[in-house]
Amino acid sequence: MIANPSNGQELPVGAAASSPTGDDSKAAASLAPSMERGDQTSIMSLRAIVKVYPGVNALKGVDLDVFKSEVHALIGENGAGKSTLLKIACGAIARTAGEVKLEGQKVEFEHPSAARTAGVVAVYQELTIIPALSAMANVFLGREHRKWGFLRRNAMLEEYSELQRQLDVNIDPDRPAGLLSIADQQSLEIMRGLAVDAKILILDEPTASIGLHEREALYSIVRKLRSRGVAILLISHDLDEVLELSDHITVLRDGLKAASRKREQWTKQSLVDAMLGDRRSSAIIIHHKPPPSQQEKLLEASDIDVPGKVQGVSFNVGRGEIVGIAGLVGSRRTELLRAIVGMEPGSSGKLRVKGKDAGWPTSPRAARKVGIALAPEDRKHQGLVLSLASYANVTLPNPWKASRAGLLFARREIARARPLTEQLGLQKGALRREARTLSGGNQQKLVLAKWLGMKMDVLLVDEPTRGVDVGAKQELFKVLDDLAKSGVGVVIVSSELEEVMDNSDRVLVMSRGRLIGEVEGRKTSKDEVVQMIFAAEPESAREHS
Amino acid sequence: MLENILKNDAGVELAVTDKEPKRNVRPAGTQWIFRYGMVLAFIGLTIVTAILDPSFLQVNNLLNLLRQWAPPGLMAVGMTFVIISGGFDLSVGGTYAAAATLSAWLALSLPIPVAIVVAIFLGSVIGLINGAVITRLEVNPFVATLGMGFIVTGLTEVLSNAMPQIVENPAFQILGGGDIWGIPIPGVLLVIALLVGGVVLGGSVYGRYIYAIGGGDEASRLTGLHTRSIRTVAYVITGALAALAGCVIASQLGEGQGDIGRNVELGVITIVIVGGNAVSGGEGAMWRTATGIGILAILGNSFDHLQVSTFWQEVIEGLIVIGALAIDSYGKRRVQS
Repeated sequence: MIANPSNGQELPVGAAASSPTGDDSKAAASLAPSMERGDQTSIMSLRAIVKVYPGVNALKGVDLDVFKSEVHALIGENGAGKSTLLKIACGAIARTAGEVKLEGQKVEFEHPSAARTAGVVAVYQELTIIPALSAMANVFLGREHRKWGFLRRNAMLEEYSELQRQLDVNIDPDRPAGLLSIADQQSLEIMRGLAVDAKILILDEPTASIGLHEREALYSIVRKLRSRGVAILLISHDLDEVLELSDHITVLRDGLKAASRKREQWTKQSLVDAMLGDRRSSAIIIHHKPPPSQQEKLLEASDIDVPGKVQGVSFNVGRGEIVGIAGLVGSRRTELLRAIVGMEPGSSGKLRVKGKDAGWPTSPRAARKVGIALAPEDRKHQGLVLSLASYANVTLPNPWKASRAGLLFARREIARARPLTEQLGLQKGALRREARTLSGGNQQKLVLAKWLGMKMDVLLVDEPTRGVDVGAKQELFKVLDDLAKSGVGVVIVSSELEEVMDNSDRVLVMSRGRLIGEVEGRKTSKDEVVQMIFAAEPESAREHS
Repeated sequence: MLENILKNDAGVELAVTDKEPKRNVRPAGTQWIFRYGMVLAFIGLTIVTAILDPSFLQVNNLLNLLRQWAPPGLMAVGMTFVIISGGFDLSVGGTYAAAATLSAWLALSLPIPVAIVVAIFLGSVIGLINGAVITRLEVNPFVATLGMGFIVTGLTEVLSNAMPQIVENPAFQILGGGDIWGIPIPGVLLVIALLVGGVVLGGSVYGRYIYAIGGGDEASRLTGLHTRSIRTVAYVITGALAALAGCVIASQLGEGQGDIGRNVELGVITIVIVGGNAVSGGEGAMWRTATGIGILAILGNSFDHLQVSTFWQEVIEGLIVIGALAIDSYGKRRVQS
């Protein structure tokens, strides 16, 4: 990789316009030197990309260049236009204006498969693995080695092991992909991309759904690919990850490029500032509330068993307390929460709510009756009905309250939903829109608003910040904090250990379906918990710590 | 209330009024055309037919059409509930024939209102069993109701010895052949069913639940909705309306027989789809079903007038069903991308 300052990339036409707030004069000054990147020709360059959705101008003229052997991170708040830009780059959606060039040639991708053939490979947050097919069948899907219409298994096996060697992974080719860990499924997707000789690999939130120890494996794959000359375009909400992996970081804000600089010129703070723009001054500071009294136990759960998953877990939640649950992927935190709201068939345990025996719920409906609700991890399928209007999602637990004699009127429903969503900082215009059209952070707010209105005693929150940007993350925790202050017991599960530690009064540590310890939140160091987890998971600890 | 019926599919306002409303003018226009496309088609068809066939708009002809299309229309009202809830009901033809046969047979010995009420009760029970099989035994709705249709048709033929139950009593023909203020009673029933169904679906809590389970079953369950009962009630409604339709046809024909329900369910589903209701559930509206009835009624009328052979009629109806769905998904794609 030879730096060539004299032959650097030309200043993009839209550069002046792309930082209209002018909040980053230093960025403008450093624009020219930041252009000396790797080889002089970019692998992919996007010019003045505009995308208009009905009612939303998602991209307002964005330029982006991705160079050979470069990890280029694209960050921004939810709704900044990152995903839209990625989807345009790989042909998943059509752009309204602008042009896409691949190795200097103008290209029009009608479909992601055309982009894939040209060497532009995207791995989305929602994986496209077919669970019932074997790992190998997934990798070769659509481009099987064949002769006379029959599969050539040996030829495929050979290539499969070559791909595995390149990525340094080891996945049984005959195992149904659905049984693999999410990290392995991701590896399969990447292998699928490499099999077509990827020039540029697009990763959309690759670590959002995988645990601590699996991330390192992904990082090493990314570095390996970079050293082979592949360009990597990465979207991530995890700024530490971005700073660790990337060579170049572009920040999008409100459909425009806010800044684009080399990694060395960024700090975590400057990234956050660039993402938030004008709003940085009003960034929310989380107020830690005083530790709640543990006098009144809201929830006492004991001897929870989910066959094959959770074993003998007991814990309690006090009034106004936030209890975090930490653990690696596979620690069965989600299953524990699901069991408490009656979503895990065959589970058993004892439940006391406000000192009274509540029986073991066998359906979410039964759990709701005793005052327990779950805001699930999978917002799109489990948290919201995407085809309904946002306000209808908020009133869905009990539309009767917003009705007159059983009839519903949009105005009355909105009047009921608005105070709840306002608390969460959701813009009022969003209420009338289909839930499908909201960004991840706003969807999460809808899920919480839904339960705010029901005055539950205990709210279980699974991965509240997954796919949510920095600004909204802070807002969400502020809401959960307020909720606890108002006397609700809150249980938070998150893969982000830091998040759990910083926002919980108490942290339960789980490993492989068992409770292995309990520490005080905020006062305990993260390292201590990590050690606790790895001590209980001997194999994975040795591999990755 | 009217606002609720006429409003839209899932209670969503499609003209987005968020941050930047002005940029939205053209796409919203396109959206509008795709949304109300079938209504425009209906209006267009009406005009063309009225020009080509002056007798079409005569009051007698229209009232006849209303009488003729009432039985499938009544079933389509129920089917709309089932389809929006994400289900399917292939047993309506069986229920229709069973109710026709039962009401005719009972009318031979019992007072006619009793015969009708008992037949509708039978339809509700069939719907209840459908719902139980689908929600408790977790059998795919398509399969469960296909099987139920066979069972009900078969049992009707067995119990009636495959003989028509002929009713001589003229009072039996009031339901299907009578008029109120000059309007055929079946037509009145259909209009009432469409209006009540529209209000329940578009404006009531139960209707909201139907859209919710159709759009997101898992999310609805996690929200604490009793998804099984909601789903089951939709099949009960369909069963009851199919039975009412059966009583109407028996009354019109003066007899009930086990084989009159063959393939009826497909015609009913055609109505619902042609109106533009999403087969995948979660989206749709009663006015769409009303539009579907209108379109098919006018087409049927023109076919008869122009003496198009039944085989060609089938070909054209097939093209229209596919066309309706293709336009719908094309419209959605355009709006989304």
